[in-house]
Amino acid sequence: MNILRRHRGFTTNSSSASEWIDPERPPASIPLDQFDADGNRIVPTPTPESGSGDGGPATISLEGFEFNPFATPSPKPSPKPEATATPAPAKEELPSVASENTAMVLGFLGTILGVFALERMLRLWWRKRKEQED
Amino acid sequence: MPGRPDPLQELPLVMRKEPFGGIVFDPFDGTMLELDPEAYGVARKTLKGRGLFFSREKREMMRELKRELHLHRLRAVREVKVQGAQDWQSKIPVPSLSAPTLVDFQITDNCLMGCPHCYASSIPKGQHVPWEMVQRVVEQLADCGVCQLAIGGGEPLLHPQIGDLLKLCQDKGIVPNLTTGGMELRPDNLTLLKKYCGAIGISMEGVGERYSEVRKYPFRKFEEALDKLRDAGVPTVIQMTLSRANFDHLPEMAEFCLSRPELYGAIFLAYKPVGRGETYSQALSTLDAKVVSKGLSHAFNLLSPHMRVGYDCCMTPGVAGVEDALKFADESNLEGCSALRGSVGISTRLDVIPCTFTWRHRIGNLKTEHLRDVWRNANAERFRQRIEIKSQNNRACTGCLKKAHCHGGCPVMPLINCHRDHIGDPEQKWSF
Ligand SMILES: C[S@@+](CC[C@H](N)C(=O)[O-])C[C@H]1O[C@@H](n2cnc3c(N)ncnc32)[C@H](O)[C@@H]1O
Repeated sequence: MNILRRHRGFTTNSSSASEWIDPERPPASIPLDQFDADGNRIVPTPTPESGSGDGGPATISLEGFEFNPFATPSPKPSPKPEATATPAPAKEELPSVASENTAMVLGFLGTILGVFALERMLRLWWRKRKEQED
Repeated sequence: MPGRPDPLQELPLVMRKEPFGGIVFDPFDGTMLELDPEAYGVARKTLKGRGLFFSREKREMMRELKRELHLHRLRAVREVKVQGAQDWQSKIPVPSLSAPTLVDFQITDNCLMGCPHCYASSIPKGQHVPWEMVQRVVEQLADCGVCQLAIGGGEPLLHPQIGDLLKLCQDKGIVPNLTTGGMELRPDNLTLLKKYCGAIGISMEGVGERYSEVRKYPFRKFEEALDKLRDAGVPTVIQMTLSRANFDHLPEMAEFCLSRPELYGAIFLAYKPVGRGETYSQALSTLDAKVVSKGLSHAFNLLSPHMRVGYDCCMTPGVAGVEDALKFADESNLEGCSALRGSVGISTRLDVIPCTFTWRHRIGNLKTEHLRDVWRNANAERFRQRIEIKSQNNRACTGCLKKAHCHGGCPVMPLINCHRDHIGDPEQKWSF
């Protein structure tokens, strides 16, 4: 889970995009293990045609980071073992949202059960007290 | 943040899903975050106030996002879904977004200054883009989830509907920024700039006499313009175009910027031999790379403790050589040509061009096409391939760790060289 890149500041430059160097905030950096020995970012280099007809590598990439199913695995364990499959993660639902939803439903059920249990206990206690009084 | 224009605080944060995760833009201070899928999921839930059952890791990310963005109070969020974006992805490995986030729009060819280096060849009789066309463009920008609009020209303050344009941007949730020569500033437009703009750029190619040689106005007038902007509380950036003609003057320009502590920032642009400016001077690539590197390093170091320092993306190879000397920078401050990767230019004829200098590389026209389709068309892909090929084939980039960020310089014309200090070969000079 990462912030891949930050850019801070308004771009006034009416000619081409500008990079701001803001001493206050260090930018997110990209781990060196994403480069090969020649300093190339590890991405397959399909021709514009590949990746469509031949079902070639789906490299989903962006400024400063790539999701490349065919890249050499990084030392950090990947959270998604199915990352060797070709379908683009873009089309998938965000896994975090799905798991959060499950957690939320479970939490909700737990709360309701808890309230029921509490109510039951109170009832029992009340009944017992009543019986003792009688 | 004190002094920030109120309307920007009211603009919603922009969220857009991308193949690598997603982006979040905060119009409050122009912060753009690129997030991986998990972090994007956390951002989505956090911004929608649904982060109650976060795991510890996610809570940490939520805290980090809160530090990065201005989330001390409830903020409106605009989640943009660009039509067809989920089915499109550039085939070129050079990293690019599913739609632009920054657009440069030349709203007029009209300008009274007649600068000899002007790439736009603007003249006093130049035409303004008709208002219906301007509206059409802004509609399309909003559809694409564009976050910032850099308004240029010509002199944008001469456009009769400039106020309406700034207001329209606000209505569409886009932050407008603008570049001006500074001679058309009046109380009415200063109020508009303060109210709606993120920041405005004002151009300066020299100090004193050197300024008036280019701009035909006394330097005093430029200083008065800066005073007006300061007094009106407009965040202001001095924009300096560097060529062979004024590079020796860089230290004086940097010193001048230092004398204006109110500045939002100082930004350096590489001169491009384009338009009327084609024969004005020569690009920085014709100077010794080491001299350029030293000059930039000096200016950056002088200014950076006091203000933001910026450079346009085509200068990246020149900065790649100096940034190690700058304590605050690392390689992700380097991001080479952004044309058709995150930004795009629109000319007065509504031609879509990779950037405003590359008008020969027209990729579409917004009178008949939508920006989101032009962004994905074959011309755009061909241009992205040019960027890719530039760094792959550039001998100067062999073995350079920064190649993946820098992309080897402007894919269209040689603008600046890299002297490779950063890969331990300072004596070797390479030309692009
Ligand atoms: C074309 S002007 C338009 C805005 C306004 N009229 C002004 O003077 O700032 C935008 C910026 O581009 C810069 N510029 C003009 N010609 C250029 C060239 N040939 N190469 C690089 N930058 C250039 C200007 O100095 C100015 O900062």
